[in-house]
Amino acid sequence: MEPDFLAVRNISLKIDDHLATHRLCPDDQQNCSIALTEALNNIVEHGFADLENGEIRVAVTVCTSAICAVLTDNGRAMPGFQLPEGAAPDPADLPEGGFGWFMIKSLSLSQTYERCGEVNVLTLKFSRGPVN
Amino acid sequence: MDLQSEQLGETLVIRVNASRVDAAAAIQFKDGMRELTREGPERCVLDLGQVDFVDSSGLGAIVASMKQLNDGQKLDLAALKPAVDKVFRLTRMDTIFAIYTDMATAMTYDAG
Repeated sequence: MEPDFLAVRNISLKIDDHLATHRLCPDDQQNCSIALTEALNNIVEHGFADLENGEIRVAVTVCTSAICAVLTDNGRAMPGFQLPEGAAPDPADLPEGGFGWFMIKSLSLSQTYERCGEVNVLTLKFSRGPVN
Repeated sequence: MDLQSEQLGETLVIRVNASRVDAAAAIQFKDGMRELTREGPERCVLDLGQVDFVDSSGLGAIVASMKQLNDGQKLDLAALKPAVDKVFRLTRMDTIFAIYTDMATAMTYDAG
C-alpha cells in the first residue's frame, strides 16, 4: 500500500488552522507545524506499512507557556520500542531524506514515546513564546 | 504540482505555483523538475515565493532536483518564506544551495 501523504497534508492543514486560532508567534507556529507534519509522515510511511486501516488521532493543547501534542496511532511499534536517535544527515552527502526525526527533536522541547498494547502514543511538547 | 517555467536571458526561472512542497507532492515535483531542466540552460532558479511550507520530503525532492541536473547545470533558490527558510537552515541544506532573498536579487547574478 502506498503511504497516504495526502491524508497527512489534510491533517497538517487542520492543525495549522487550529494553531492559528491561538495566535501563536510565527516561530512557535512553524515549529509545531513542521514537527507534527514530520511525525505524521513517519507514522504513515513506517508505522502503517503493511496496514490497511491505519488511524491517527491528534490532540493539540495550547497552554500559556507550552504547546502539547499527543499523536496516537494503531501502526507498527517503533523499532526497539524507542524513538529514533534523529542524527542529522551530513549536507555534503546531498541527502534526500533522513531529516524527519532530527527536525522533530530540534523543534520540540521534549518527546516521549510509549507503546500501549497495540497503540503508539507520541507526545511532543513545544515552547510557547510571549504573546505578541 | 504546478511548475511554471520561463527563460529570462541565460537563466531558466521555475516558479512553484503551490503553497506546499510536501510528501504528497514530492514525487510530482521531482518529475516536473526533471522535465523542465532536461533541455534547460546552465543556470536554473527555483522561485519559492508562493511556497509556505516544505517538509523533509519536499526538501529531499529539491535536493534530488539538483542532483538530477545535467553536467554543468546548477540550481539556485530564491524567495524562501520564513517556514521554508527555517527548514533549510535547521538541516544546514542552506549551505548546499545559493539562496537569494527574492527573484530580483537572484536575477542580478545574471547581469554580473
